[in-house]
Amino acid sequence: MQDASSPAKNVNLEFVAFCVGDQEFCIDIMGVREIRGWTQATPLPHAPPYVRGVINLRGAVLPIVDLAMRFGLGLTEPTPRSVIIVVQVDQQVIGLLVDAVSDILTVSEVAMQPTPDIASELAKTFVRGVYPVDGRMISIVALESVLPISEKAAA
Amino acid sequence: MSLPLTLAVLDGMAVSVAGQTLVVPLTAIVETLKPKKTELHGLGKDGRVMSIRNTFVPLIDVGTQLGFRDTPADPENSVAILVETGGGTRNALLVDSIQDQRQVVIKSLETNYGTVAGIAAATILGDGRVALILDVDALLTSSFDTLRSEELCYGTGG
Repeated sequence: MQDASSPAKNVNLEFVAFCVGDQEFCIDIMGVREIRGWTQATPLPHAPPYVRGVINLRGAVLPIVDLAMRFGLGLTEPTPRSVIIVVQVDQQVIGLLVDAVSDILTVSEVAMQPTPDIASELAKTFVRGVYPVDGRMISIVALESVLPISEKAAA
Repeated sequence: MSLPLTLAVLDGMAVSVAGQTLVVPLTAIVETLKPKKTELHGLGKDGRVMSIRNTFVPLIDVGTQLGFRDTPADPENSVAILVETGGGTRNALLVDSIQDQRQVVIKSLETNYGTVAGIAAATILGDGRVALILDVDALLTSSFDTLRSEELCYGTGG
């Protein structure tokens, strides 16, 4: 790793870091539209368990994906302190239910490490790579695989 | 900020099913009834029909059909909505209660999510919550599909 103060030749990327359970994840800040508090969602029939329903975002209907459930970490019990990160993926706008937003990270592209090779298929599907930050491990979420769209096409 | 060029408005009846508010398009509704015990008849394993002036129409529990609850609602404490589909077939949808009749603005579910079986679109209620608009034709088709698949299972098992 290079000294942080040296002018980095590499492109610096900014990420929004957040907690899901006791793990930390991050997503590219350019994909984040807004961050808002939890509001009660209207459940959708025949939806997979990680789709918590839809909420009203200033007149638009926004589906909410429970990231913990999506990653196989169990259902999130939403509290008033839970956070919805509104992200845009391609043309779709969805909300991600997470426990808390923790940080904004500025990291260089070269600092990214490939996902450690562990057995969990879920980790391989949803984690694009990991960043070491102050001794913590922050996983980069592959947003396109979080969407329910792929399963819908199959169904 | 951009304003929509057109708004699609729908006349609907707001109903409650398992704590959720749903909107049934008024165009599909023929009449609403309060089922009496004497009018209800079982047909087959789970099938239920309701006699309306001596014609028997299938009773479809919206709550179980959409997966909002596992056990069917008690018809005597529910309201039956007689609906007619494009083909002219009549069915009675069982809901918990009728809230009111209102005009709603149609909001697409497809834009950000996708199609949902039995749901035509969504709308936003006065209190800011999202309510789903029933697709009556699709709901009836899916109810027949589940019945048929159950029959098939029964056939192979027996």
